[in-house]
Amino acid sequence: MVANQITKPNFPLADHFDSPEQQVDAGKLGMWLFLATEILLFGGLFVAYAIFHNLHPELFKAGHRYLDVKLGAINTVVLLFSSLTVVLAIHAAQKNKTSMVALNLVITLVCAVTFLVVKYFEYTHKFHAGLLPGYFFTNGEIPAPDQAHIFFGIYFLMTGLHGIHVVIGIIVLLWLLVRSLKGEFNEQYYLPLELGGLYWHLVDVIWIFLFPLLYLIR
Amino acid sequence: MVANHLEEESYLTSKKGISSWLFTLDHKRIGLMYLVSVMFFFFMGGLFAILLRMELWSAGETIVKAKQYNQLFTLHGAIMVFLVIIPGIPASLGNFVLPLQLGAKDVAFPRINLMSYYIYVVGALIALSSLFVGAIDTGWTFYTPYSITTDGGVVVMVFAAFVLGFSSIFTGVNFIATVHKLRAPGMTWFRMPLFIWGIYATAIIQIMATPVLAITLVLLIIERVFHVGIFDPQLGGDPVLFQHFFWFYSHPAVYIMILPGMAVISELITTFSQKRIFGYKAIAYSSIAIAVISFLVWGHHMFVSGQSELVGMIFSALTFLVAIPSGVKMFNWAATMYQGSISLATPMLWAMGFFLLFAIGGLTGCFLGTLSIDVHLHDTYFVVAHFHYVMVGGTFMAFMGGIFYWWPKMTGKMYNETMGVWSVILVVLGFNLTFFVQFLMGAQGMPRRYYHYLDQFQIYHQISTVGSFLLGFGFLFSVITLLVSLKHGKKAPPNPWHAATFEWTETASPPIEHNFHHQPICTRGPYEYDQIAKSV
Amino acid sequence: MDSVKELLSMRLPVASTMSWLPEAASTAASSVDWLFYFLIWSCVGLFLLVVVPVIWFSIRYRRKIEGQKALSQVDHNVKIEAAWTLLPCIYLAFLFYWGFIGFVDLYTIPFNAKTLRVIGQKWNWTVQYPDDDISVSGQGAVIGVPLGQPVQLIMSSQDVIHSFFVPNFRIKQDVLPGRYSSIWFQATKIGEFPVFCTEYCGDEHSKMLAIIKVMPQDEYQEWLTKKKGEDVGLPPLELGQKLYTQKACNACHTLDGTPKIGPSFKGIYGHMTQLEGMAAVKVDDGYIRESILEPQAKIVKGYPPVMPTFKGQLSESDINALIEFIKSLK
Ligand code: HEA
Ligand code: HEA
Ligand code: HEC
Ligand code: CUA
Ligand SMILES: [Cu+2]
Repeated sequence: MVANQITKPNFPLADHFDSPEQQVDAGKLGMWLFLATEILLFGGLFVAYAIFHNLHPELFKAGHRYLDVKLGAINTVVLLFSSLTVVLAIHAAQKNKTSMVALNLVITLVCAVTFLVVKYFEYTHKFHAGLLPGYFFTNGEIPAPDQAHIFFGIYFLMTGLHGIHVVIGIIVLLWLLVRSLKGEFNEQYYLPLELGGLYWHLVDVIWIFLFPLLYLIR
Repeated sequence: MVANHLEEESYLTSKKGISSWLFTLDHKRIGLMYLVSVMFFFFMGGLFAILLRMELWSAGETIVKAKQYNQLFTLHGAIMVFLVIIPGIPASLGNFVLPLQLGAKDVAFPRINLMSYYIYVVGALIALSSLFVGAIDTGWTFYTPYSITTDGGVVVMVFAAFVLGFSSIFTGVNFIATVHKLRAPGMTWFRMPLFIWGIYATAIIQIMATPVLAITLVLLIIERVFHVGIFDPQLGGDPVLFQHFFWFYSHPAVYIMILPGMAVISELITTFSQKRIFGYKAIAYSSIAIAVISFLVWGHHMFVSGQSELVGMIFSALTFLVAIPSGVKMFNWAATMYQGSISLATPMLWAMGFFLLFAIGGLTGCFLGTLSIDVHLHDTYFVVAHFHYVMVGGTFMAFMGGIFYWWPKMTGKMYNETMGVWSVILVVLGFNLTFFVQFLMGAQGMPRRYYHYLDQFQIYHQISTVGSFLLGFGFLFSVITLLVSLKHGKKAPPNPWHAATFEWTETASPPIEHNFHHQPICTRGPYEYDQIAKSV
Repeated sequence: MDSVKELLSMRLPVASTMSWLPEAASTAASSVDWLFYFLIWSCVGLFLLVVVPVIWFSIRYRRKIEGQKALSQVDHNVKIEAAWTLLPCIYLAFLFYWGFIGFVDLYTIPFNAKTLRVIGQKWNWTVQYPDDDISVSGQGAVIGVPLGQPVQLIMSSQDVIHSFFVPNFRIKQDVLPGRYSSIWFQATKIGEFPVFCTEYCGDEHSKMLAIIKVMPQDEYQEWLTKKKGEDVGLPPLELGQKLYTQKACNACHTLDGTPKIGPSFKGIYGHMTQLEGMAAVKVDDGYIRESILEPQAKIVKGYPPVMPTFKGQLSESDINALIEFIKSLK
């Protein structure tokens, strides 16, 4: 992909690397390793989910009815679309279309913010209904056994941690946007875009798992 | 070639001023900063240990109250584990040596390297600040539900461990990328020094296990603050689940502690025997094998926690499996010395100490892996003795050996050999005096984390306390030996030990800022002592 | 307090001061000990196997002059390497097998076992004898058991995790809140054997001790009858005083006005006590009763909410006796 660029001037090569290939490969490898750790981080929560689902399946059935599938589905679509625009941004960089890079990043950012806004409405609704973890659980109408709070504990943990990742993603995207507006990305150098994109895909993929596990359990 | 090196200034003097250190991206400087910080916390943890031992001089109150005693062993354990031994060898020696041995100019991501150092510093400060909100008294294992009911700075200390985890992850990511992408031309995987294999295997564990610890600690904090009901039995949670999560990280973590130690020992034994290492591939692969199997044995800390017999059985079997690669390494090191040209210089003596003490520590690990025996020994001083034999007798001996070995490279100064020899003798003697009696009292039933104890154990405790003073003095003496050399030491030649790896053969002591004048080319294995005479 | 001092100075029966293990006093101990001693000796063997060559090589092949070359550069030998990989496997498989057999024995409860219920709480053990309608408790409680009869312990915890350890019987089992765990033993020696708590549980973890007293059948029966009669007819004040140590209130509450883990009992009765938050409440019978049964309901200002509930462990008359006792402390 990036062969024969050693002589080209548009590549900021760090001085401990011998070639752009080496730098690009190292960067990507590092990012993949980091993504692996992220997956393991969520892995712990998925394990907790599995264990409690196994212990109290009835809880999860009762709990998930109180989640809004429609809003969840909208968010899923929004995130999927934002993954697409990130790819388009990289694509544009490869074609040297600097303004398209920025445009696509802006769309991605809008999606990310939309996601958070939807989540905000979901959360506030739960706060009002008292569908909260642990001691804070005050909802009286839920026809579940007295441990329904565990479901909401897990719900808030998983979506909360994911939400934090969305926020970090937004910061990363903003930083990329600034750099792209400065015209730093071009057909030779778009590594940061690629790495940021990888991160954004991860955020997306995790949501793809969370959505069915929390909203659609039968 | 050598003459060349002397002209350019070394990494220590090439830039001056405090900020040239604080903002450096040079892996060698970062390694040194880690070394100093880790040693600082080692002494702090050691001081807590001495206070522990003083309290145990007599059965009732000797110097502190029960509550303070509990805080002392928690701080001692947490500092030693999270601030000293896990970052220990990889972040200090690894940072310094790894790029040099690979023939690289730096690690793959120097900025992330510096960032991980500062994350470490921040984590350490948070850990210490827990002292001000009321020291934590849960033991370093933070078991629920005790940790969600006791007062004190549990959240602060747990958060510190969480932050430190990220430092560890970033170091791991950095090293793996460096090993994959920055090897010198000609350096194939099987031409890499075994130190690198060991650090590489460690890095794998670091990035695989640490995130699980991170999320566990987050869950613990959330449970404590918001009472979610995941670990709290009063809310329908499962306290044993925490133990599973915790050990899923912390067992692999014990190999994060020992693999770098083993990595150092591999270097020391060949160099001081002037002989190619026996079973290079076996040692390299056994590091990887240990890294992989280490993820499957966590349940051996929980044989009596009420898990099913079948689960206990599986974990016991896998525990024994992980002993085999360790055994393979031991045998290979012994065989390396056969027909060598052995010099018992200070680093080699540390290696011998490692050999002796790690064998005892590892073999007593096999006692603990044996199901019916562990029922009796679990949570007694036998376990305390086991893990000090592997962590202090194993890892720390290797760490000291590594420091003495690379000291001339790091500082350009030779230390006083007689003083070096005496440090080893003091430490080995003091160590055995402190911890061997703990096997005896543990097997006889003395539980750990006990402030009061039956009078009959007093004699053992007193021997142990005397030993700990000797041990502490030994470590103090080692550090003095090194510090004295900075002022009075002779200038170190580039390759005082006649070693065969790049950091000795291709650059000066201390190295120049960019490590090498010319990109080194690798044309042979790392331990071909008959070939190096020409190049230096 | 005193009972603990005494307890700490009691001897854990050991065969001799230099023996590795304490005296064996249960059926399980013999097979465990056999394996333990096998481990010791085989590990001494393995230790020598690796250490002796290393010492020998470092003498035999010691570098005599500067720059001396190694005698050879051999770096592999397939046969030897295979041997030191495979032989340990056999040894370890053997260890695993014997350990597992012993483990299964430790947890396979004989059908004719007599059942005792054990409750752990900060920081004492309560043992209930369901068949005989008695219970013992407190730091240093004496748990009577008959010689030669299998005894099963069904255990649970009021608060945090504890662990029930009897060195002489070679048994240990964690005691968990919210679930039952069990273990069994059959005593083979008459005598008094200490019980330790081996899961760290807070300030007085190391004082969470008890004694198992093994008695021949007839003596055991006598002990039971005596126990049954003990509390009957005791005046409430004395009973309360007794319960104060027996239920280990003394672990947290003093009688002389010094605060410990909880507030002192001295002079609280009839006075106002400041609660967490703004409220204050008068210490009367109802409040004391609530404090004992539902300690988390009202928390005294300046103290952690760590008092365990005694619900189900104290009878009505016990509670009344405790109230009388607290009342008497002016
Ligand atoms: C550096 C750290 C380190 C290392 C390397 C090890 C190595 C091993 N450990 Fe250890 N362990 C700890 C640190 C470590 N441990 C800590 C910190 C705890 C307690 C935590 C706490 O509760 O606070 C613990 C606790 C612990 C337990 C739980 C005890 C309990 O709480 O009840 C067990 C049980 O199986 C165990 C087993 C082993 C085994 C089988 C090995 C093996 O890997 C050892 C392999 C080595 C050898 C076998 C020796 C060398 C080989 C030979 C001499 C060749 C010949 C040998 C044979 C053929 C057998 N360890
Ligand atoms: C790397 C890990 C590490 C290291 C290096 C050590 C080092 C030491 N440890 Fe520790 N230890 C642990 C990890 C470690 N420990 C862990 C994880 C626990 C479990 C905690 C828990 O239960 O939660 C534990 C628990 C533990 C206990 C059990 C407490 C209990 O269960 O009640 C004891 C008791 O003897 C002890 C002693 C010592 C001693 C004497 C040293 C010595 O090696 C220290 C020697 C070093 C020095 C002394 C510092 C250097 C010298 C000076 C500062 C100069 C001044 C010296 C003098 C005045 C003599 N340790
Ligand atoms: C683990 C320690 C512990 C034990 C054991 C314990 N308590 Fe308490 N107790 C406390 C603490 C801490 C408080 C103060 C916080 C609170 O109100 O819960 C307290 C409060 C009380 C109060 C209210 C005191 C006041 O000044 O208002 C009473 C009464 C009481 N305990 C009785 C008992 C009795 C009776 C027993 C034994 C049967 C007992 N406690 C055992 C820790 C303990
Ligand atoms: Cu109860 Cu320790
Ligand atoms: Cu382990």
